[in-house]
Amino acid sequence: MTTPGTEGPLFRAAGLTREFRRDGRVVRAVDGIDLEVHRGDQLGIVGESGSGKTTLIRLLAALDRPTSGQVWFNGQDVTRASSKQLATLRSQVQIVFQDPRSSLDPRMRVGEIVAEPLTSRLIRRLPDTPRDVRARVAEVLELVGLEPQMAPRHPHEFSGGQRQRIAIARALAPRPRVLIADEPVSALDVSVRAQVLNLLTDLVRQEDLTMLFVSHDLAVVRHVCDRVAVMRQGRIVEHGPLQQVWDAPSDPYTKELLAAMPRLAVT
Amino acid sequence: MMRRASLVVGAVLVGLVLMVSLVGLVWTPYDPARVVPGDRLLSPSATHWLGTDAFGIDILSRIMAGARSVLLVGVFAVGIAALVGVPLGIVAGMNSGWLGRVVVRATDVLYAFPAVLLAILFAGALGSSTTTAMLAIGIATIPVFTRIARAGVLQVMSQDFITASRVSGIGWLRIAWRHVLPNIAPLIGVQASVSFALAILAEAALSYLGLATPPEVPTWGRMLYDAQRHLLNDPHLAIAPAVAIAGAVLGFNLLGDGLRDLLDPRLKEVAE
Amino acid sequence: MSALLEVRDLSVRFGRHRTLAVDRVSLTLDEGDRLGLVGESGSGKSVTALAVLGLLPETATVTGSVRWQGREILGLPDRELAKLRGQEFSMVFQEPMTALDPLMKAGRQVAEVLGLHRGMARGASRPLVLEMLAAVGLADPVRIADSYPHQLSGGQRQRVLMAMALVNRPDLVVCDEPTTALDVTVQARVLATLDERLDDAGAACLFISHDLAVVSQVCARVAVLRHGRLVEQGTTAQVLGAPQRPYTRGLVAVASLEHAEPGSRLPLVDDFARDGGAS
Repeated sequence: MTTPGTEGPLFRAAGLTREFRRDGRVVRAVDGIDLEVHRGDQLGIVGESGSGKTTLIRLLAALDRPTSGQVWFNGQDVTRASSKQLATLRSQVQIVFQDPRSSLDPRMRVGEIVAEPLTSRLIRRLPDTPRDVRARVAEVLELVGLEPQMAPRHPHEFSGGQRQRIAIARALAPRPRVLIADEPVSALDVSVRAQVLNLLTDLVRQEDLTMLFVSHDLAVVRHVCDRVAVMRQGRIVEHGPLQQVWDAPSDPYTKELLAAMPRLAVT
Repeated sequence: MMRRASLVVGAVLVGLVLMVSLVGLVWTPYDPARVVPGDRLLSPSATHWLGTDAFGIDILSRIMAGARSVLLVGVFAVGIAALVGVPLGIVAGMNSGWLGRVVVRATDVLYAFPAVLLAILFAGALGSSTTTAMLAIGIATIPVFTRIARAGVLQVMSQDFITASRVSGIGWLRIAWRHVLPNIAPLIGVQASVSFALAILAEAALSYLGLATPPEVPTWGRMLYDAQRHLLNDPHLAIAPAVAIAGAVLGFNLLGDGLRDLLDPRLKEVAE
Repeated sequence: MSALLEVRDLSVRFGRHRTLAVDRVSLTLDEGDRLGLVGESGSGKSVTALAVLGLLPETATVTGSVRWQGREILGLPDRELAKLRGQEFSMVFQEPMTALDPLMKAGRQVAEVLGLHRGMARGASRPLVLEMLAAVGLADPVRIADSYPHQLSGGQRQRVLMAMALVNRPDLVVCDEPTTALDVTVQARVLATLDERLDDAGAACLFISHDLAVVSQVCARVAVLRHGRLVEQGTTAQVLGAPQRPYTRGLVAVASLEHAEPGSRLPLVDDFARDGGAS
């Protein structure tokens, strides 16, 4: 890619703030966040519900506009971009959501769901987009460990773990550079969690993806990320290499997160 | 199972109305418009199964001919209401800006006008006709569809698959067409069925008031109106159209209920 | 002396297809005992609990025996079961938002449980309700009592549910994935409170979860379910430390994420137990 800013960070956020009005009160979901994400980073964003982590990724993915502050993707200011100017971002950034029951349209077939990003007018025109939709759908379904013959079926015919695989296949279809995973294993059984985490680590390596992994569980983030930002009340309270934060957390809240992890109490 | 029962009974009743009106198009036992002075107010018999009315016209023939205008009014009124109301509801549900707010307000205003009032207005401008009834009932029903569609759209829009589409830059129109419409379709179908029943009632009421179909064209509401003068001596005049109206309304209501249960994906999820 | 709860050969079938959701499960709980019921979704753990409480829909066919303090309660008319529920045993559900009435203030919902089973007037129950809300770790019980469920956080809602389940000092509390919808920090605090309150009340607990780690923190004994069948049962230390069955070994392996080398391939249940096919 020869876009300007290839040298700089993939994502840069400066003074990012997003306020919501709730019952007449102004709530700052994201409060003055500065953040850089570089190519090949596996960044974990950890915090409890209401900490602003989902709002942050919505701002980064240009699904929402900040009250103040800016986001640059590949050096391009996306906070003021028109939807056409967002074509590159739309093709390169994909999201996997928490609950596949909500993220897969129950009335569509698996094949249509996975193919959808490829049929987007914005993405279709780009040179890197796979042309043969049918072949690409089969390819990504296999990539996530599903049979291409499953394409004509509906989401409700699948188990929770399989549905999350379908969601991951959809995200991979347009050959994104960045995968944002928003609590991708929180709605799954512990036994299924391991399968999806293995799949994600494999894909990140194979497809050379940059990943933003949002979770409330530090143990999960530790497994798939190399850096972590701990969020609380709209701010990043601790940020650094994962092993360092894991071994020697500096913020009291991070310490609490570590202590709260459910461990097997083999006594 | 109750659900199945209401679906089956509803479908049978609706099918019956449909069949009677179709047959009535090409064949009725007697001419539903021919006045036979010698046959006035006959009780039901082998020759006239449902008897004859004050003009000597065979009641069964009139019921059969009347079914046609009942269906016509129903189809067009619900058609108008759904074709205008559902897109408005989708706009109101998907657009949180000024456009959505304007649609919501306009819907509230339209809601304040009952079909009868609209019919009086239209009858003044267009004269009393079946078209008047269709327009009045149809327009008065628009806000019903707008509201139900908007409620459904709001629910669908909160789902992650909508965000997933936006992540790929899918446009609003496509999201509305590919995701929103299919997901609210069951809701609309159920409402259409219920509204159909209400439209039949409204048509009968308007005909009864002389605001809809002119007297020479047979409709169930008109027959009821004509029957009231003879209610004490010849109640059979009223019974036939009353049963027909009740049956059709019940049929469409039951069908609506049955469809609701059949199409509710949440129920499917549990059964799975 | 007989056990508090004795389940023997409990089987549950659903609907016309007669699929077996629970297959000859036997469990015993003594007074103050805490048993964790562990399994993946579809393993029949919730169905087992609902069958014990008599809360299954009429389409379910339940066979076997459920004895409460020596008395058979399976097939008891619903009116008599209702008397037991909430008074002698109660339940904490997974999804606090749907388990609470959205149109009723939290305090009144707790008071209702009290009133229902102790015939207490609403005014008289207020101090008890506030005391209970404070006991489950809610810092500002007065404000919480006067809030509607949607005004509360997930953790607060779960605590309100806990208050409702504990307020009548039941002998058995059934917890169905009570912390699955919560953040880890909130989960840890809610579990700690549950632990304390159960101790105080001396109540027994049947704790259902897919997460062995969570169960191991609350329960002294664990029963593992798979495809409706009991796979293994024993003390938590036994089951976690020296699991006998491959499936249990798999569950133990997937539950200890913090011991895995970051980025390495995580062990799967299927690596241990391939029998029975995918669920």
